[in-house]
Amino acid sequence: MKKTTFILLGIAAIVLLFIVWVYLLIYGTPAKVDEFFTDFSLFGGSENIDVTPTTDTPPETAPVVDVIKDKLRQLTTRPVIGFQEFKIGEPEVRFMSYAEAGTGHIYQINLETGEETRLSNTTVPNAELAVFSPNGAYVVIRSGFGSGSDVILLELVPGGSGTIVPLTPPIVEFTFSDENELLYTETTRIGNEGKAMNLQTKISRALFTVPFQAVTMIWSTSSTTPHYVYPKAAARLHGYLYAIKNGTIVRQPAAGGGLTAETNNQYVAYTKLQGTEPASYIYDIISQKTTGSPILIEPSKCVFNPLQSNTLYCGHELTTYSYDFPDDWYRGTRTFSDRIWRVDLNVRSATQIVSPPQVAGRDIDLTNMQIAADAKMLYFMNKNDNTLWLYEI
Amino acid sequence: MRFLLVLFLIFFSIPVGYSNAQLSTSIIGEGVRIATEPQYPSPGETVTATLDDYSINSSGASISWYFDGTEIQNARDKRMITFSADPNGRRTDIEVRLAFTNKPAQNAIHTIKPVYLDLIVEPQTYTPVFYQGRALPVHGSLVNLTALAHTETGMVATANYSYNWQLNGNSIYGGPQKGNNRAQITIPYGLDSIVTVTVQDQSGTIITRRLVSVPSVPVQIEFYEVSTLYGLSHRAIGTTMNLIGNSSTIRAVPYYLDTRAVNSSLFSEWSINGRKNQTITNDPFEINLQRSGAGGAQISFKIRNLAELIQGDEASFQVKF
Repeated sequence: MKKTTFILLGIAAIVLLFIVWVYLLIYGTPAKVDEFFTDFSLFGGSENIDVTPTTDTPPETAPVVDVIKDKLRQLTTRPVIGFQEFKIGEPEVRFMSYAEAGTGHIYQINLETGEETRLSNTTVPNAELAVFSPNGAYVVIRSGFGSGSDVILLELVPGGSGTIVPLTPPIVEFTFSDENELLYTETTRIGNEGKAMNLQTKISRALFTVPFQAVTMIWSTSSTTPHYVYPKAAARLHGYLYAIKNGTIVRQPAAGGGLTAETNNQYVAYTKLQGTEPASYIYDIISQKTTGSPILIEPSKCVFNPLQSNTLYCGHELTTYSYDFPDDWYRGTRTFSDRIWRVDLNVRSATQIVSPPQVAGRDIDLTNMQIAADAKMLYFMNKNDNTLWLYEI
Repeated sequence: MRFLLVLFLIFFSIPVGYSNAQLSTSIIGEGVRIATEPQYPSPGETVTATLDDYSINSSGASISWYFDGTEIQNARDKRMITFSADPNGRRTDIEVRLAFTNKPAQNAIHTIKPVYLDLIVEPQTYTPVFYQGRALPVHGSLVNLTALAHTETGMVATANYSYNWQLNGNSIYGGPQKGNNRAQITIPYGLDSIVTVTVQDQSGTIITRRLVSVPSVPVQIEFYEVSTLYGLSHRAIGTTMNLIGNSSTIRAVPYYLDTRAVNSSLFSEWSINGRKNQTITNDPFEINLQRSGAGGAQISFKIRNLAELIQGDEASFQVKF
């Protein structure tokens, strides 16, 4: 190739580059940032090309939304010291109020939606036991470790805080009646005095006296059934069951080492040491007959069906129970992996209705068993971590 | 010689005849009686009644038993019967009749009035507030005792009865005391003590008696984790604990320590790997553990009542971090 040809090609290339430079100088500024890299059309074409990503066509079926709730489910991750179910609204919706361990803060869970709200941020340091009034307006909270423990009455008010009324002298056992009276015992020099407090006036009236100090109360929240009382259980000490009628105590035919009991208007279910192991019995108040129970009954793990007096729901593990029971369980040195049982007291049979280790994959050492007023829900705490659980019957 | 022999026989035969008479009246006795076990039953308790006829020759006698005058048909010719005391505490007369062919019939009547006599033992020793059970006694601690007697009409009026308290066979108050249904004892040496209470009515008749075994246990330390936010765990630590965070507070609970010692003459000490913990805290029952690297440590706590040196315990657990 000639030298002249090279020179002409070079000039042509330079001219071409100059034309490009001039073009970019005049038309090259992008209108939008994204046009800078995407608009390659000649002379700044303004045509927008929609790019539709390809998708897999879904099958022609209805969307699946998982709304099925497990019958056994954990309600809280916080440790709980007391709880109470409430039904609110029309139609009625179930709510669960609970008090948080250590702080005494009160929360409420909508059991339909799972939404949780805080009702009270009033802190009660070292709160370790709480009882709610049936109307949900009051909570009695015990706090502290030993002799320095205090009991306060917390009145819940809308807006997140509550008013605190110390209950002095310190009360020992307490609950609320169906009429929203505070029922409690006060230790005296020689025993205990049972009282009922009107929460509006804070005036108490005497109900009964018990001639010993270490009492476990089986409170009757109804005015038609009696309260029961027995000395606190100890495997190596005898206990005796008493009904409280007209202000005095009446001995019931239940006694023995480590005695514990649970009652309703027809039955007394009690456990005592028999030989070297605990054994449970059912005493029929009407027929005055005592029969053996198919499973061991620990009152904290059991609750009577309010609509069916011959049905008892219990947490129980099929295992051996030591001579030291229930002391070892109270101390927290013995734990159980409970199943939930329905006990038919008429025919003395027990049926396992759920196994938490199988259903939830968790060991639940069940305590503080309660039942909904319509007998459709069981509520209880896991003593291992004090979390609150629910089982739909 | 013959005179001396007769005199000798007379001298030795008179006392022998006299002794026989003594035996037949005061030791062997006459007639029959009924022995019951237990002697003072509670309402509804199973009772065994036994015919006691050692004082007579009852061979060939026909035996029949009666409850409040009505013969028990299936108890014919039985020397022992078993029945339940009235569950409501009502009085029952049990009668046994022995009929002979060659001599007059004999009978015995025994009245059973079952009474509940409950002995409530309340040791004055420490348990934490969350503990649902009753405290147990340790050596040297005080125990309050309450006797509650119940008849078919309810709890008896204490002032109408006398109570005789005994500890291991020794009277606590020197004898029966009217209206004294409460006693306080100090637990002596030994594993168990036997407390007996006997209740007498105003005529001095014993209406019931009970005895209970009162155990003596050692002080028992358990460890619990204390969460700054959530408070004391109710599950004891046991032998091993995994330290999850950087620190943890542990509380030692001395079960069954004499309550008089809790706020007074008490020695307590924490140690880590055998070395005394020098950190001073407001609460001698708590220790704060701080993680330092990885490994483990042996945490020990000892406690002793300086007023009663046998009251004490030492316990430990392994913490892993």
